[in-house]
Amino acid sequence: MGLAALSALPAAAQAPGERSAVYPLDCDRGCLIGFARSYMAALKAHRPSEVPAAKSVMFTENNVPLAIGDGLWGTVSDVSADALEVADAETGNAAWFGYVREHGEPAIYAMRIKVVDRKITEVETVVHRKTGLPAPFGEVTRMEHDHAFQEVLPAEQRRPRARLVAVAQSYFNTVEYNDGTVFAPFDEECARLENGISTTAVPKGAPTGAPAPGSGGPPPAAGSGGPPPASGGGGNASAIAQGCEAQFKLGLYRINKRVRERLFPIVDEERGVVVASGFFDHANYFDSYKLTNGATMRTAMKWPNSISLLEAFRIRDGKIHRIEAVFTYVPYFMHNPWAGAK
Amino acid sequence: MSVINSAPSHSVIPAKAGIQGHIGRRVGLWVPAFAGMTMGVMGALTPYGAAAATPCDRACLTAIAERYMDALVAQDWRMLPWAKSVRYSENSVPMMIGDAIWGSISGHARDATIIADPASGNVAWLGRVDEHGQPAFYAMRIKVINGRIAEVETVIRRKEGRPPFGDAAGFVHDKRFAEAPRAKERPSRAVIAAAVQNYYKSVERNNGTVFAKFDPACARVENGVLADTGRYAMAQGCAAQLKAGLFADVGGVRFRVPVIDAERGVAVAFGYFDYPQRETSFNSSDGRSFEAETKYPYSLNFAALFKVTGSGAIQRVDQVAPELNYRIPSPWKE
Repeated sequence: MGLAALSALPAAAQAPGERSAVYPLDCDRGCLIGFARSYMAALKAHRPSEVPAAKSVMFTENNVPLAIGDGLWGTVSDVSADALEVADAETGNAAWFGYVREHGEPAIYAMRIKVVDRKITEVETVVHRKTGLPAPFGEVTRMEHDHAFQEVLPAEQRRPRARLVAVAQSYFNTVEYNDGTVFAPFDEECARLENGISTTAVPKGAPTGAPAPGSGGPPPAAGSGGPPPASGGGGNASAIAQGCEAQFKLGLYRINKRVRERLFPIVDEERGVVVASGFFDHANYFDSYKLTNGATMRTAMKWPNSISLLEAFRIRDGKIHRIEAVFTYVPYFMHNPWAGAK
Repeated sequence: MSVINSAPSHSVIPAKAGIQGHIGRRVGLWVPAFAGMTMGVMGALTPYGAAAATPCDRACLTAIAERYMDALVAQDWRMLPWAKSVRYSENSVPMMIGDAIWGSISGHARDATIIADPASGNVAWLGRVDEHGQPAFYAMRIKVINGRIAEVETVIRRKEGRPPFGDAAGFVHDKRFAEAPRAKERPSRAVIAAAVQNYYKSVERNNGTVFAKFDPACARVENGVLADTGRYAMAQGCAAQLKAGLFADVGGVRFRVPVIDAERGVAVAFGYFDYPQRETSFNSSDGRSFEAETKYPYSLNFAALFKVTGSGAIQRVDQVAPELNYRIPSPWKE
């Protein structure tokens, strides 16, 4: 096809990746969250035909493309009544964080949908089950989603879309190769919920405080995942250091070789919310490492693994105030079909 | 059941050609000469997995497999002869050579089982590896073209996760995998391939119908554990367990048979058992009930060794099988 023919195509007049030069904005936040609820209701009812889906809908479960009706659809027995719900009318995306049950067994769950012309065109899900691998897994009946995600910020505490994404990126930059360098701006009250567990507050009954230099590192708090839940390990980092920033200054998450295939499909400027997806790659080329205070930590697993995540950030006055994440183990370096070609 | 055949002659199919499809059906990238042929006919006309452009005989393939494992432990991929374009996967994920186990390995067993297939240019190495001193079950396939490594496919089962996981450090394969029967007692490539296909045909949605032939003493080992406990205690031996329908929860089987050693009567299959787990319990063909192993869907990625007699009876099945995401796609089909 020649250049003349190409230039005649209307699609060539759109910004790359956009269907129209004007955002349709035909489904606002409430509308998008309504679609998310419709999806979850259909899931709970085992009725894939009731999903208001486009013919070309694409569905993934833990980064594997499936037909709607397969995977969790065949095992689900309940859906949590309470959820963290967020949406972005500009991109037409909504997300839902909560839990499900499969034949009665709980699984931590997060999903993202995209709505175009009042039809769901994309469904991305992360389902974290009890597989025997060491990872945080909260008591779902006590899971509480922080209400701050729903609060509209006063105008002076809001930031534009690009800055909100940059702050979320800076969090991932801090996680990646965490050697004590902190790139992210953290609110003093920053708190994080991972797979239904607070990994920044003092765990009940747990000994606290950073391990002393040369102590050999603390035993894993949960399973054998080692200290860094924020990066997919099984222990609770809050037993070692409390608060978002302190853990990173200590270099607890050193095992993250990469934070890969980062996407930011949802930004809510009014509430300061960003939802990201991506992978934390635990290469585990080493099986012990030093914290910035000189203490030695041992890795929980001796082999390469990755975690796939959907993570919500609440950013207040340009600083990370709340984080809620759902993640699960996937084979090392697994690709996200939503991330496109490398 | 989805069958992903080993590629026909490299001389007619580029190394990157798609190799997915049902045996006996027309497959997109196969040459028309193969279209519609049954496996038996195809096997008679063209060996199952035909010759590479430049032969690399048994000794050559075995040496390359050993060199690969030594380079892996040395964490130095530069020690090896690579083809211009190389494909590598680890537990179904394509990635760069040098990443993943190339950074965590600390040793490998010296008593591994090596299965060479000069006709297709493939060789498999199955045994134990250590990562930071922790043993794991490991299976690897290399495809050699013109003396250079063009493909490396690895399947690794580590300790963490649900059972079975046996004594990886002390595990040795059944010695029959290394034994070559007398020439007149050897099965043909087609007979070996048919035995494997019929095995998986019996496993998929297993209802007690057995399509494969088995030696009466046939046993199955998974991750170093003999399958005679749990549900498998309900019936002993390969044939009896299939007749009892103890694989009823396997909703789908996807597999390929890229390595066949006709001298030894051995094949190495790679693939997946898909467990949708829509039910929590199943009935054996004699009416007894057994529980599903999980309440969530998952897939087992396997590399399975088969020993087949001259008459096509399966003597032994020994597989390495990590649990992966439900219906994770294979990077070895296109």
